[in-house]
Amino acid sequence: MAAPCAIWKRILSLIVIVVLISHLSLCTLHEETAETFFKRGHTNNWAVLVCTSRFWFNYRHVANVLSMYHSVKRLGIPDSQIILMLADDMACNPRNPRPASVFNNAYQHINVYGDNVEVDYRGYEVTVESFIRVLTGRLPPSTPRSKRLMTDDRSNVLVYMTGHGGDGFLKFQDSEEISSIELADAFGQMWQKRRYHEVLYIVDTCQAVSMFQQFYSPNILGVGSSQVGEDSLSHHVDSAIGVYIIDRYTYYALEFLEKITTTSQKTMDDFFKVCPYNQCHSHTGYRTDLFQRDISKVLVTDFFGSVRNVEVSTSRLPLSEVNHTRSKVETKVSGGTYYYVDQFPSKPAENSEDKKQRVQFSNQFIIANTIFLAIAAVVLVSRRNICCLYFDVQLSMSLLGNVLVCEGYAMGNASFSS
Amino acid sequence: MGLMTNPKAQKIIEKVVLSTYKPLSVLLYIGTFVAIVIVSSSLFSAKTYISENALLPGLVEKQYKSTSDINGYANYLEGISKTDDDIPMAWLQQTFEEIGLDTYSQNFSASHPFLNSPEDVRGTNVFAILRAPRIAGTEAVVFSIPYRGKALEKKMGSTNHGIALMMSLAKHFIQQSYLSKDIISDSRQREYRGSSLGEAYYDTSSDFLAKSPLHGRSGTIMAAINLELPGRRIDHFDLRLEGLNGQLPNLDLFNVAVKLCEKEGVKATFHGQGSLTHTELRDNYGIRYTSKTMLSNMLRQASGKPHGIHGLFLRYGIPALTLHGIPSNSKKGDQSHSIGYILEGIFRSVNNLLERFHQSFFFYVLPETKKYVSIGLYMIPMGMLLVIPTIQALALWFLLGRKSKNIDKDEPIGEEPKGQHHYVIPVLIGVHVCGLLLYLSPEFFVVNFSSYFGLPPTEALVDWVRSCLYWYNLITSYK
Repeated sequence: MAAPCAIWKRILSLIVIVVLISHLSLCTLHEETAETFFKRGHTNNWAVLVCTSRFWFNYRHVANVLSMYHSVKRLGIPDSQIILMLADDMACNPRNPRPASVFNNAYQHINVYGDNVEVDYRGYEVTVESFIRVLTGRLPPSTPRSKRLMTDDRSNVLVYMTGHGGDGFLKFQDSEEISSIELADAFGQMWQKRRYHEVLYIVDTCQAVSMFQQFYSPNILGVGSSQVGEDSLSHHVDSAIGVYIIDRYTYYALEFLEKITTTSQKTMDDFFKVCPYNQCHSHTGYRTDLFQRDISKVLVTDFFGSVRNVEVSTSRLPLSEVNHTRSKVETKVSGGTYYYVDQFPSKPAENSEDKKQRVQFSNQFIIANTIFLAIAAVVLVSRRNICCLYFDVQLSMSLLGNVLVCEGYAMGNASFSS
Repeated sequence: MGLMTNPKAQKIIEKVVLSTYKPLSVLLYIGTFVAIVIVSSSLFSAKTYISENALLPGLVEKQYKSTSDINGYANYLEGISKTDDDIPMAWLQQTFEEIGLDTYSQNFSASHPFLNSPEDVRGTNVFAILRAPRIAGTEAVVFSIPYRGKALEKKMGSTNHGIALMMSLAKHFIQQSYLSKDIISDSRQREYRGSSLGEAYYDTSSDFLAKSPLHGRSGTIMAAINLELPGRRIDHFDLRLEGLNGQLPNLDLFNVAVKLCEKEGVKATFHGQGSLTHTELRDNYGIRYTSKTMLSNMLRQASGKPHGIHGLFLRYGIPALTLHGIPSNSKKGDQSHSIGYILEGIFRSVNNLLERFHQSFFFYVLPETKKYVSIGLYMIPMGMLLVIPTIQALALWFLLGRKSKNIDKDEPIGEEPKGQHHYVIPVLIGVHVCGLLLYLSPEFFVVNFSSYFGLPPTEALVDWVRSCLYWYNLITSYK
C-alpha cells in the first residue's frame, strides 16, 4: 500500500504545480494585452462645457465655464470640437461695469470673454433638451455642424457643468432642471450609440456628487466639487464688478491645469487631489468604478488635451471596400471579420452558445476547482475495492453536483470576475 | 354634527359660553396686548436676512466722490428757502439739464373736498430722468426728495442738503456704464398734499387734483428712495417704512438700507430704535425697547397716515422707504461722503435686481432694525382679538334663545321657539338704522375732524372706520 500511495501523491503535486503555473502565465499575458490594448484608446477629444444659470449675480458660473474653455483650448482641443453652452451673456449685461468682458479673477488679468470665444449655445438655447440632444446626437437635421457633438467610439469626451444644483438635480435657466437619472440615461444612450470611448464628467455645483451617482455606462470618470448635503462655495468677490467672480473648485482646478502642457505626464490621480477641504471648504468626490483603466496611469491630457494617436497599419486598406454606413454591426476589414464587442458586458446573453463562451472563471476558482477535482480523482482511483462502488457513485454524484453549483456561481459572477 | 344638533351638547355649550364670555373677553383683550409685547421680544422675533440673491448689497467698491459743487448747491438752496416759499423751478431745471438729465416739470393744484381751505394748494414738481445707457429703459428707480420752502422747513426740517446730494449723485451716476435702470430724480413740493410722481406716472385721475400732463417717461418703477437730509452732518438715519393705509415695502429694501448704513458707520434706527446692544438685550431680552418700537410701528400703520412721502408710492406696488436724517448736535465734520456712499450702495443694489422685490416679507412688524416678526407670529395675538366678537355674538344668540323660552313656557322642548322672530326683527331694524347713520356720517366726521389730524379726505375716512371698529370692539368686550 505504501508504494502506490507515494506515486499518487507525486502525481497530485505535479498536477497542482502545472495548473498553477499555467494560470499565472495566462494572467500576466492577459494583463499585458490589456495594457497595450487600452493605452491611448482614443483618437479624438471633445469637450462639452455648460453653464446652466442665468442672471447677473451668477456671473461666477459663466466665468467658471469660460476659464475651463480656455484651458482645454490651450491644451489643443479646437473650437470645432468644443460645445460651449452659456445660459446668460454677462459681458453685455447692462450691470457689467466692464462691458464686453468677463473676468475670472479680481485682479482682472485675463479677459476670458476676449478674443476667439465661440459660444455654440447661448441664452435661452441652453435647455435640458438641447443639452441631452447634443450629448445623444438626436438633433434635427438642420442643426449646423458647429452645434453638434460629432463623436465616435474613439472619442474622449470632457463634460463640464456648473450652476445651481441640489441632491440629484442641476438647475437650468431658473425654469427647469436636469435630474441625475436623465443624465445617466443620456450617457447610457451615448454608449449604446458608440458616441464615446471614455468620458470625464466634472460638475461644480452644490451637492455635486449626486449628479453622477446614477451613472451606469462604462468608461466614465466622475468628479464633483462637493458631497451630498454640502454646498460648493465661491472663491472671492471682485469688488470692482460687484459679484462673486469664480467658484472654489474651478479656481483650484484651473490652477492645476495651468501647469499642464500637452506633454505633461500628470495623471488623473493627481487631478483628483485638486482642491482639498482646506481650499474648497467642501469635500470633492470622485467616481472611478465605471472606468476600466487604472486612473494612476490615465494622463490628464487624455481628456483636457487633444493628443492624437496615429495608428500605423502594416496592411493595405482597400478603400473601395470600406463600408461607410454604420448600420451594419459587422464590418469587413482586410484580414478577417471583426465584430463590435458587446456594449454592456453585464447584460445576460440570450443564446446558450454565447453563454458558454462568455463564462470567465476567476483564477482562484479554477485553482480551487482543479485541486478539488484532482483530489477526488485520486481518491476514486485509489479505491479499488468493488464493494465500495456504492460510495463511489455517491461521491461522484456529489462531485458532479459540486461542479455544477460552482459553475453556476461562476457564471453568475462572470462579469465581475473579469 | 352631533355636537351642533344634539340639544344636550348644545345646552352644555350654551352654559359654558354664557358663564364665561364676559371674563373671557376681558382676559383675551388683555392677553392680546401681553402676547404682542412678548412676541416683540428677542426670544420670538427672528433675525432679518437678505432673501433676494440678486441684491448683493455692499459687495461693490464705493466710487462716489463728493465734489465741491455739493456745497454750492446746498448753499444756494438754503439761501432761497430762507426767503421764499416756492420751489426754485428754473434753477432746478437748469442744474439738472446741465448735468445732462432729461428734465421735466409738472404743475398741480389740489382742492380739498371737505376742508374749508381758502384756496387750492398749488405747486410744482421737478423731475429729471437719468437714462440707463446700455438698456432699453424698461425699468426705473425713483430718488425723491421733498422741497419744503420757508414755511414747511420750520415745521418739518430742511431737506436742501438732500437735493444737493441728489444732484451730486446724478453727476456721478451719469458717468457710469453699469446702470440697468433709469434713475428718476424727483423733487416735489407740498409733501402729501400735492401730486406724487406715482399719481402722475400712472395717470390716476382724481376730482380733487388737477395736474398738467407728464411729458417725460421712463420704465416701470421698481423702487423708490425718499431722502430727508437736514444738513451736512447727521446723528443717525431714521428709516421710515409705513405708507398709506399701513402698507409696507418689501423687507429686503429695508434690510439693504440697514446693511449699507451699518457698513458706512452711520447708525440706522427704526422708530428711534437701532439694533439692540448687549446691555439692552440683558434687560429682560430687551422687551422694553422692542415692544415700544413694535407698538409704535403698529400704531403708525393703524393711523393709515404715511410716514414720509415714500408712502405714496406703496399704493402703486412700488416698494419705497424714507431715509430721514436726524440732525447732529455737533456741527463739525462733513458726512456727505458716507451718506453718498449709502445712497450709491442702495442704488447699485437695487440696480442689480432682476425682478420686482418679491422674495422677502410684505407683512411684518419690526421690533428693531435687525429683527422682524413675521405675519405667522403676530397673527396669533390678532386671532385672540378676533375670538372676542365671535364669543360675544355666540353669547348674544344664546341669550336671545333664553328670553324667548321664558316668554313661551308652554312650548315643548325640542321645537324651535316661535317667539324668536319677534326679537330678531327689532334688532334687524336697529342694525339697518345704525348702518344708515354710518353711511351718512363720514362726511360730517371728515368735515369736523380731519383738519385736526391734517389728513387728506380719503385717509380720514379709513381712519374713521377703523376707529369705529376699535371702539365697537372695546365696548362689546366690556359689556
